[in-house]
Amino acid sequence: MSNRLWWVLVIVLWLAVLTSAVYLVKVRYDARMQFIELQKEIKKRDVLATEWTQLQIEQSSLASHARIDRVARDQLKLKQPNAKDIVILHDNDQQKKQ
Amino acid sequence: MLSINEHNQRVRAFNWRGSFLLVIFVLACSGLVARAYFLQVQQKDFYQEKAEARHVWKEKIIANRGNITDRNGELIAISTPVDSVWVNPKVILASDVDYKVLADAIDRPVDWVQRRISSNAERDFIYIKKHLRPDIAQQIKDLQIPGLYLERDYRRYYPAGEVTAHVLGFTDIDDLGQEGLELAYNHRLIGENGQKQVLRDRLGRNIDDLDMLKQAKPGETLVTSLDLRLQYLAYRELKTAVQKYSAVSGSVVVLDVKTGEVLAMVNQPSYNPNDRSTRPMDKIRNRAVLDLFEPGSSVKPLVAAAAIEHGDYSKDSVVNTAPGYFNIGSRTIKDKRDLGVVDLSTVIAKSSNVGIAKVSLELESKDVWQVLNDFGFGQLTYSQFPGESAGIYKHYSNWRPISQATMAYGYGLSVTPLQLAQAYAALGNHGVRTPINFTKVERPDLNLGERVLKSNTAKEVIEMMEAVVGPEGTAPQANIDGYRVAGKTGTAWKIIDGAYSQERYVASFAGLAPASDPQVAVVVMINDPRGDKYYGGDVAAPVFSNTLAGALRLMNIQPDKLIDTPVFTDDGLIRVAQAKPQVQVLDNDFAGASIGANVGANDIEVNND
Repeated sequence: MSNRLWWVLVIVLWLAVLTSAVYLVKVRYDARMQFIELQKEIKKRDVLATEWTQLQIEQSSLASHARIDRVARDQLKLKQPNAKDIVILHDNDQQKKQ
Repeated sequence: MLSINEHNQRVRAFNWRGSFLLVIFVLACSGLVARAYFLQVQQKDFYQEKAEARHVWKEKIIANRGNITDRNGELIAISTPVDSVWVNPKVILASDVDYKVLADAIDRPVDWVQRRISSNAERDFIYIKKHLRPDIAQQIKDLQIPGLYLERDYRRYYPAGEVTAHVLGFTDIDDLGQEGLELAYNHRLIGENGQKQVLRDRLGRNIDDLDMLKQAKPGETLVTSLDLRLQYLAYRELKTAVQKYSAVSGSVVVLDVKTGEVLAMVNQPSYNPNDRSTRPMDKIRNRAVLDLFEPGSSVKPLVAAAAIEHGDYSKDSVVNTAPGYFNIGSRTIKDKRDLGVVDLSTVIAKSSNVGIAKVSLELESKDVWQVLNDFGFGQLTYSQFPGESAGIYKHYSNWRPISQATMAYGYGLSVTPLQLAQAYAALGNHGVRTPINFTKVERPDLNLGERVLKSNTAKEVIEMMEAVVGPEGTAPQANIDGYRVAGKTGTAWKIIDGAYSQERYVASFAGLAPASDPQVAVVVMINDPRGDKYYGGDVAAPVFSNTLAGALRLMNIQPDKLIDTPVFTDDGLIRVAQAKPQVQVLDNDFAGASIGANVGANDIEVNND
């Protein structure tokens, strides 16, 4: 009887080793796949960060005071009001300032 | 069936050949085992090392340099990613690489590429193209040339270009600050690169992260005290004036009187810091902090302050300037005309050399020297700006009587525009001089300053300076509608070839507003105006007026010179306040100088209209 049990044990252990080996391969493969995914996401992050920097630069350029000044004067024909055209209202409840 | 003997004979014969083969076999096997032992156990370290050298790699994690912004968060310096292309010459030579494809990709002649690779045949690493835009670099990488890799790097870009060039300075190829604030605050801007250990495959791609050896620390963002709007305004006004009056150079400094912050600092000539191919040596100096000039008459209010503080003078004190000149030693001090007997206020308003020289000589040389020294002359402002000059200001023990006289109207000493601005800011700050700051002051209520004058003295001097911009003064063009402005012109001879030239000048105007409670101080210096106008009141005062008017408006500072006017409305008569125009309002035909598009390098593409 013990001989038969011994043989069963061997078969079981042998199957276990086989399964564990196959599973190891699978886990290693999954790890590699996930690592590739992670690298892809990191690369995506880098691309977005680069784009963010370039957008900031583009914004500073488009919103630069020199450009706004030029557009306001040349295209939109805006002018600064003269001092005599500006009227300042007193706040009647407040003391008049010096 | 064989007999027993025959059977034994056969077995013995078979065993002889068999055992021979067995011996050979065993020998071969033990040879292999011995070799295996030799390789696996004894030379293990050697081969392990070789394997790791090819597959395990310490990768640098690049840390970003911090951005620089103005006080309102507007970007004025940013690090933008660029890729450099490098190759492994050994791999290139080992594979069958089409040099033409490679050469076209990096825009170089084929023989250049061949020479470069063959002369570095023993190396593992050479750059073949630096600092490309990342998308262009990716196109080169996608060509899949073996042995070709990209290295990520960061390059500085200055959105405001020539306008902020002098204050910010620039960085070198290794992204280390070389000049200006980039240098002064390099330790804060620079990040710390990190390091991680990675496993690479045969093609050099990362297949696993092994260990994070050091986290990367990004650089800090530097918030400067500058207001970009004021910076642009000052730059435009200065550039216009320098061009219009054919001047060699110029500087404008705008200070916050109460905190000592530099709100704007610009110079002409300027340059484009984004263009790395040229660094014109004559244009990169921040003249406002590095260059010296003899201030001329803009020193007179400071000497008057000394007279009020230490002498028994007040703004009504009488000074006899007749007959319009006086001799001291072998020299004669002259005024433009004989002003006769006037009060100290008129001496300042009409800028009398004779008047102020006589006042100065009445005082102890120690007192005159001390007051100007307390104002910051002869000292560094401790703004931390690299290369800042302390000026030339001799100690009073080295003064001759003539020095005490000429110094009163601004000759025999040299200052930077920043030092002059600091002195005027101290006047405006009720006699307290605050340290100059290029970074935004977060706690303006903590008043860190030292008292130079009594508050009343400062007030009296400011009142005297208001007359300068009045109708009787030397600079009616410095006026600003709606505000009480105080200031002083300066028109000083330049020293050419060791002697004073009576034809070449430095025109300046220094002042502050609103005079009732000063908040902003502005100094304008125009060097060597070669046109027909050269007085401070003509050349520098308009720059001062436009810059300061813009500053007061942008900073929302209450006008303090308003006239009540009645206005009729549907609800009846109401009284409002209006600024009464003092001078001819400048017409709105804008003749200002244009500021360039700031895009330097071809690699950075920005969409301009």
